[in-house]
This record gives sequence, C-alpha cells and structure tokens, in this order.
Amino acid sequence: MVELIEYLIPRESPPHPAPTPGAGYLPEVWLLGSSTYSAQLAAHLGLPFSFAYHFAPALLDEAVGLYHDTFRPSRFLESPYLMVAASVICAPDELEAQWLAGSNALNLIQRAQGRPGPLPSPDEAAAYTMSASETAFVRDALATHAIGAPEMVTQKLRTLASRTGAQELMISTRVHSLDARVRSFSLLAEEWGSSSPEKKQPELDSRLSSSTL
Amino acid sequence: MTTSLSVLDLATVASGSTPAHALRETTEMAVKAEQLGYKRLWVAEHHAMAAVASSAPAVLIAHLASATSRIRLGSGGVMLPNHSPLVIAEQFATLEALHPGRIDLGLGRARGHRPRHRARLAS
Repeated sequence: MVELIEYLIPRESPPHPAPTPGAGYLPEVWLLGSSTYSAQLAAHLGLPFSFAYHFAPALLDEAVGLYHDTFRPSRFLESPYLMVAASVICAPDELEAQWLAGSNALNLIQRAQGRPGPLPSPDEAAAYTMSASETAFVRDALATHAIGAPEMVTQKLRTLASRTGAQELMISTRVHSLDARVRSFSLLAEEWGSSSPEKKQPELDSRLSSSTL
Repeated sequence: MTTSLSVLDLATVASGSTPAHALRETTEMAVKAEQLGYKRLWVAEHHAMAAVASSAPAVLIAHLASATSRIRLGSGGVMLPNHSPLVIAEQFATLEALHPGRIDLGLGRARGHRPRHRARLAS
C-alpha cells in the first residue's frame, strides 16, 4: 500500500521504475476495511477510512473507535475522515420495501447453501418457502439493513451517522430492477435533503437570479 | 453535523439478465446518482460471483467517468493482494490524468474471491 502511494507522490528522487502518468497524479486514496486491523492501519497512515458495516456490523464500534483514537495526521488528512457503508432499500412504503428485500434474502440463502446465482426477482423470492432456520438466518443477516419508507430509512441512517461520527455514508442497494434501485436512491436523497446541497444550491441560485432579472 | 451520501454499486446481475445489461444499468445509476447530488459512486472488485458484474474496477470507472461530469468515481475497493502495486498506480494515475479531481482509489486487503480463483488470478 505504501509502495503504491509512493509511485504517485512527487519527490526529488523519483522511484524506479517511475510510472507515467505517476507522480503528481494521485487520486484520493482510501483504506477500506471490515476489521480492527484495517482501522488501525488507516489511522497509522492518516488515510480516510471506509468501514464495511454492510457486511461486518459487529465490529463497527470497535473499529471506528480505534480509527479515531489512533489517527495520525498525514499529508492526506489533518483529522480522521470516516465513511460507513450501509445496506438500504427505500420504497414508498414499508411493505413494498420488504417485498423488494426478498431478492437479497433468497440470494443470501442460496449463497449460504453453496449455490450462488444472480439476484432473484421479488416474485421468485416470494415463491420460495423458507424453513425456520432460514427465516432466522435471513432475519439476522438483514437486521442491520435499513429497509422501509423514506422517514424510517433516514432515521436509521442518521442514528448510524451520529453513533459513529461518520462524515459520509455509502449506500448499497441490492434490488432486482434498475427502476427500484434508482427510486430508492431518489427517495433517500429527497428525504435526506441536506445530502445534496451541491445540486440544490445552483438551482436555487439560478432561480433567484432569473427572478431578480 | 451534515453527513454526505454516496453510492456503492456492485453491478448486480439480476435473474434473467446478463452481465452486459448489469454494467449498462450501473452506468445509468451513475448518471442518476450525479443528478440526485450523491457525492461519489464506487464500484467493487468481486471475482467469479454470478450476481456481481463488477470485477475490473479501473475499467468500469473509466467508462462511468466518461458518462458523467461531476460525481466522484472510485473503487470500493481494489483488492491489493490480487495486483502489483505498480500496475494499480499506473491505472489510477491514468484515471486521475483523464478525470482530474474526480477519482478515488479505495484499497482493500481482502481478495474478493474464493481460493480456487486465487490461483488463476496469480498465474
């Protein structure tokens, strides 16, 4: 990781080999992790850290605590910058959100049974009869997902943000159709409101300036 | 406290669909995410998973960056144990040169696949 970053930082004596493009073309570098080790590594290197809450929910508090407590300022950041990844399905109402979540639930069962496949449709999921143990497995697996109407999803995400101090949440939405995926992100953005100031501000400004003209 | 929202996209392959269609849907998702004001969209590196068409993040990011104009795009993440650091540096410096200020290089320490696939990636 350090070797990779060193290729892209301008220096007096370039590395050998010196990639082109290389030095001076440094993207924003992030460390992703689902463990306490990766949290400490990100802190040690002074990198922004993205924690995979969507598949490692149990370690969230410990990893985030270590990242914040052991962070060392670097050429990248003066203070910690945390992102938390979360699974979300947002629909106009709770019932439909749960219906859409059936796809992911059945896909998780298929994977656990060693026969992974493409993401089933909600109809395929509804046609599948879960055993008691599968029902319990799915309930556990989806417990940390935010699935529901916009208000409920937003409330759950705001709780996650304040619990971790995250500057950013990364939303993963596994649903069968693109329409349902886009609608979920659209409903969430609308409810979150302040999440899209860059988009809303210019619109507002142009409306104001045209009205004054 | 204001918290930004971003998108993690796995280029999910739905039943009855194809990886090509999944990748086109991810492209549409990136355009919509930009319109909706999301800060960034990251794509994963998963290997040999029937439900995930995102296995080559740098290639996909290049495509998504050309289809959009403002949203940040990145890897969530490049699984470093699979690659030579020099090659990843070259790929992402190329992306940064083509789309300055819009590229994120998210790095992971896992492999994103099962052992059987590991040998093939390494050979």
